[in-house]
Amino acid sequence: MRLREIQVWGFGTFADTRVRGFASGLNVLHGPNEFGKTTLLEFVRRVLFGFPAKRGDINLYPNIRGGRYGGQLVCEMRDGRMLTVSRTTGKSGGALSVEDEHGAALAQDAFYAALGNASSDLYQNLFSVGLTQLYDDNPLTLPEVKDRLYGAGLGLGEVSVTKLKETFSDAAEKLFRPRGSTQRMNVIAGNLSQLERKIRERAAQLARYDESARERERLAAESERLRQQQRELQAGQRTLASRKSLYPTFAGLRAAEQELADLGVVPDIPDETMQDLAQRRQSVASLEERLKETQVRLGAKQAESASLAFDPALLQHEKEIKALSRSLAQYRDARRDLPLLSRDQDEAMAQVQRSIGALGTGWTDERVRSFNLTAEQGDALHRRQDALQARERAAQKAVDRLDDYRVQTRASRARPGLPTLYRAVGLAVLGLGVAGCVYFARNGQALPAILSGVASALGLVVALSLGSASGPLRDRAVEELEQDRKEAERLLEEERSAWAAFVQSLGFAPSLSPDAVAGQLQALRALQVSLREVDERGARISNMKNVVETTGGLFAAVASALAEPVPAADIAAGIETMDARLDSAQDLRTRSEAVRGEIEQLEGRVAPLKTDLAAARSEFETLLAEYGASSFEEFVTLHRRSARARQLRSDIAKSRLAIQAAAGVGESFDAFLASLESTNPEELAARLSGIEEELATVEGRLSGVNQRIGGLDAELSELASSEQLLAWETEAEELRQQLRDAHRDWLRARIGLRAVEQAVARYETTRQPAVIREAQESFSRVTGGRFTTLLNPVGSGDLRVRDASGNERAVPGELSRGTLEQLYLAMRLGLIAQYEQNAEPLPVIMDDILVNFDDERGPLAVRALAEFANDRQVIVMTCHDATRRLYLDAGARELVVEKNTTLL
Amino acid sequence: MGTVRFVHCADLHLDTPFRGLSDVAPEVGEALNKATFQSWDNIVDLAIREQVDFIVIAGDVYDSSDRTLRAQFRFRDGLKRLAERGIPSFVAFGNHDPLSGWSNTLDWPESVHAFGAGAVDSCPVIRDGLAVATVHGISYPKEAVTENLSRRFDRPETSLPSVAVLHANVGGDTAHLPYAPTTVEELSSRGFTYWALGHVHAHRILRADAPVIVYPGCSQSRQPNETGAKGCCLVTLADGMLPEVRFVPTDVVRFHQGAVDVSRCDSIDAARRAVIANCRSAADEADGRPLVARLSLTGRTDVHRQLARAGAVPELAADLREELLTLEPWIWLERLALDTRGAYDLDVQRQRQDFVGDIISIYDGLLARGPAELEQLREEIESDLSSWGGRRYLEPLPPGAVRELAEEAMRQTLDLVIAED
Repeated sequence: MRLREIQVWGFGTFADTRVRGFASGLNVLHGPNEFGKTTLLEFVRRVLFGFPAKRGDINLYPNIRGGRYGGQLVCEMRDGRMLTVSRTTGKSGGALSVEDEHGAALAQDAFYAALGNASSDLYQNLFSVGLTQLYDDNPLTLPEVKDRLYGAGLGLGEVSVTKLKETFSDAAEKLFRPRGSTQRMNVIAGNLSQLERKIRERAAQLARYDESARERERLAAESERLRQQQRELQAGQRTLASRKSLYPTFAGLRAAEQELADLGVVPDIPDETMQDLAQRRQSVASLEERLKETQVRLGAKQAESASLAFDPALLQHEKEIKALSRSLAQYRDARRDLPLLSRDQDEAMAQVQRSIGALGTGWTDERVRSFNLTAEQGDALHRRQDALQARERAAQKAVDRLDDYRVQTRASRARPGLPTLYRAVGLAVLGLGVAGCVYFARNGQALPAILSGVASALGLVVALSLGSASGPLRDRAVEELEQDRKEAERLLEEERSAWAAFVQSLGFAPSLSPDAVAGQLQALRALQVSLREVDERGARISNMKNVVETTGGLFAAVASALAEPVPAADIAAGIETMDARLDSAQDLRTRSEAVRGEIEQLEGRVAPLKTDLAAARSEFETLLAEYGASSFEEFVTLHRRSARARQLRSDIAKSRLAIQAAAGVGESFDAFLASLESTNPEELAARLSGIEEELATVEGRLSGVNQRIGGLDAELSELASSEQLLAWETEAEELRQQLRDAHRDWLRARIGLRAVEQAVARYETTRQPAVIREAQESFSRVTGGRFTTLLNPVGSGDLRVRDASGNERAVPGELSRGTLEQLYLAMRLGLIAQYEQNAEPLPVIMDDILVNFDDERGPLAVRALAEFANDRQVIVMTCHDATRRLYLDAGARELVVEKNTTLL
Repeated sequence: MGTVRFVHCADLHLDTPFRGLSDVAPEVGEALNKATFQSWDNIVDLAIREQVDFIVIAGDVYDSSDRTLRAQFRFRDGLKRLAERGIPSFVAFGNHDPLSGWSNTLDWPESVHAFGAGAVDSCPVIRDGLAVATVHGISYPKEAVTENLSRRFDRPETSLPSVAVLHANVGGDTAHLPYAPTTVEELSSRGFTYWALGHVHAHRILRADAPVIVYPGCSQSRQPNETGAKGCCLVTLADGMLPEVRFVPTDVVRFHQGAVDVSRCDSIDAARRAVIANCRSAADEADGRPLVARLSLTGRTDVHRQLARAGAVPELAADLREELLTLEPWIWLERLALDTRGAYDLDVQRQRQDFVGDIISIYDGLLARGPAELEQLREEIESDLSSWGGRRYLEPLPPGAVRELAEEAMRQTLDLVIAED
């Protein structure tokens, strides 16, 4: 690939900059310090391999001038294609675009494959070198460089010698290290060692099986012997323990027997008999007590009865006294009200007489009392009154009509008259009205009479009106009205006569007007009321007098019959005293009767109690006599002795049973008792303690033996059935197999490693790579033949140089800076030539690399570079004009930098 | 004399671990642990079923170095079962179970005769009150017996069939320890009807004519290289007839070794199918027994580089194990070795004038060395192990192992350095 043009859109200090004038072969770019030569070198590198991410103090060359970041390279490929490679900002190193001259895009992978998959590091280390890199970096130390350096010549393809050796050495290292602890063989051996120790221990246990089995048999015999001894000791212990525990029983037995003997002959008095006697004694005492108590109560009742005395006459006149008591309140009222009532009576009688006199002559008490107006009479009276009043109003009206007509006639003499027919009707109405009025007035019917009157008036008006219209009619009407007035007065007189007759029939004076009659009737009714009140009050007065008289008589009769006198001055108080005495006498009588009843009951009890008491005393004394006791206390003493004897016999029997339960009966019982006779508790306790100690010792030994037997049984069972040993053996076998495999793997790896090392050694001596040869030639030429040979062990970055005298020098320590830079330059030239054999040649850019070359080697280096550029594009940069001229003299073409130009 | 029938077995190795295996599945391990006992039970069952007159056990009932009492109890239980059915047992002890290893406290049935180590014992076999055969034998007093014990067997002074029981290495079998060494000729000269041998784990009839000399082989394989059927011999001796020896398999787990040619396989999956086919074929021959298989992939194949990739074969083996273990009866793929070659032509590569050519030349020179030189190479390499405590656990490599390793290393190297086409 050759650069044809560089376009910088924006990168560091460059913006819109074009570099042109590129040619195959050597190109020189001259510029002073700060011109931007290093920036351009970095630009080419980064457009090809990406903008780096920000890290550390790396210079990102930010676009200082603004505008679009990045740029493009116009490149000519070895096959003649023209590619435009552009890159701008973006992820993963920026957005790369590769297009051919027809505008067809080239895939990124295809582009890098065309570049031989060179990495950024490789390009930076070999193809775009500044002075610093030239001096500091031995290109051979870059792994990629090393592999590429030898890969082609070795024929190893993608694998390197280093990798090949590592494959085997790593494998061997993972399997074994002499003092390693994690390597497989070391680990397996360690595990195996532990496992074998466990197996040996278990095997040793197995070897002890027979011994353990024999030990178990011996211990079983010992266990049996100890068990027998234990049984014997336990029997002795039980005997002694029995004697010891029964000794108190035995002692009690003997004591009871002795006490029983001391009691002598004692009648057997059962407890029930004692209880029976006690009950009988209690019965006697109880009866005695009850008799005494009854007699005392009888005496008391008799005394009480004697104290309850009263007047029998009170009880004999109980009814009269109660009657007096009941009438007491009435008596007191009469005595209090009688004077007042008598005075009122007298006053009322005088008033009545005066009122009767006012009625007129002929009226007496009896007539007033007997006067009675029946309902019919009342109704007739009212009718008569109404009829009379109606006659009086009719007569008055007839007079009024006549007078009115005469007045109207005088006022309306000129008005035309009505037709005769209408006047006739008016007169007819007048006539009928008058007739009706008279008829109804006679019959006492006021309302129809009034209506008839009104009708007649209307008829009169009509007749008069018509009459005014006609003179003859008017005269006739006056006559008729006069006639009517006369008729009305006549009827009134008739009615007055009828009224007078009717009033007289009722007992009143016939001259009385209806109003006067009404006043007399009202007075009569009031008198009748007064008379009834007088009569009633008179009856009450009479009654009161009777009460006072009757009560006084009865009181006197009763008082005279009583033993104790009663004050007679105040009859009412005397009645109260008498009543109180009666109540007291009644109460005393009731209480006396109750006491007498109780006395009778008590008297009835005394005799049976005396009988029962005699019988009880007989029974009590009979029982005493039965056991020869003369008293209850003597009987009690006898009974106590009897009970003690019984208790002792029971205790003796129990003790014998308890001892027999432990020692047996018959001879063994006797022997047991005899053995207890000859010993004592202290001796027994001492002997028992001794045997218990002995038993504990034996049992302890037996337990130990049995435990040992149990342990041996478990051990023997475990040994006879355990799968553990086989498991361990199997595990050990597996480990051995793993170790065998690992051992073989390790040997194989070591054999492989040895073979590779031998092959490398042979290769180094017989097949030095071309790159070293080429570098050696360049180095010799640049140094003017000062150094002749370059040595590089295969797969290492170490270099040695040999001068014309045959002396070797170590690199870099034994070379001057200039010589070292010349060596590294030579190495790079050789490596680039080697690289290009399998990949697209990349443009080589070198920035002021001749600074440290002397005047002799500088031109030699320029010449070497010019020769190197015969087959590829080499771009050199310098700030020194002398150097520029050297390059130009060597045929270099000078590049043109156009800043601030217009870029497409 | 009539007919006499007996069971001849040897090398039971009861309750001893299986060798050469690692990382077996739990169920497989459990089955293997029980296998020797079940095999012994099968022998006892056979004797009872066939109503034999007696049974001889020619040594190595168990391994004294791995001795477990459980083994002795289980062995005694079998003998008791035989005794209960009137079948006497004759036991000679070998290098793995010398007399010094027996427990003295175990009670043996009366019908069991354990041969002593001092001299050859001779015992009649009584049937219906009459002797029908004699059995002679001698046991190892200790593990390493280098004496030719067969010389202690005197010619039997009887016309009855005579059975000699001996644990011995006949004919110098290098695969077994050279204990009680003897020869077929020497045995043939002792005048016995039947030599009931033990020690060699493969069933062999060393001599089919009178006297018949037989190794029954072990009753159960215990390591991958003990392939094929294992069992005992049912022997019939009759007047005027050659002894009839019938091998009866008694093993419960069978071992299988084989090479699976994957040269025609174009993928790992095809190689996988080839392995399964191989295992199924072996399982068919195992007559319903579970199988422990050790296989190697062989042949020049396109999938070699895939298989040679680190972890590829272990992954394939793990996958196969998972599937094969589910079969009924199960198959345990104990090991799957890679012994394939790349598709490249080694002779062409050998002509290269570069590093590859050089390294092939180095390996060629290595493989051209004789056994002694290769052993010297091993010693040089293993000088790094000289001060290592674990060295004592390393076993001597079998003959030819260094060469195999060198070949494997060469294949591995070439797999790395030769670019794939």
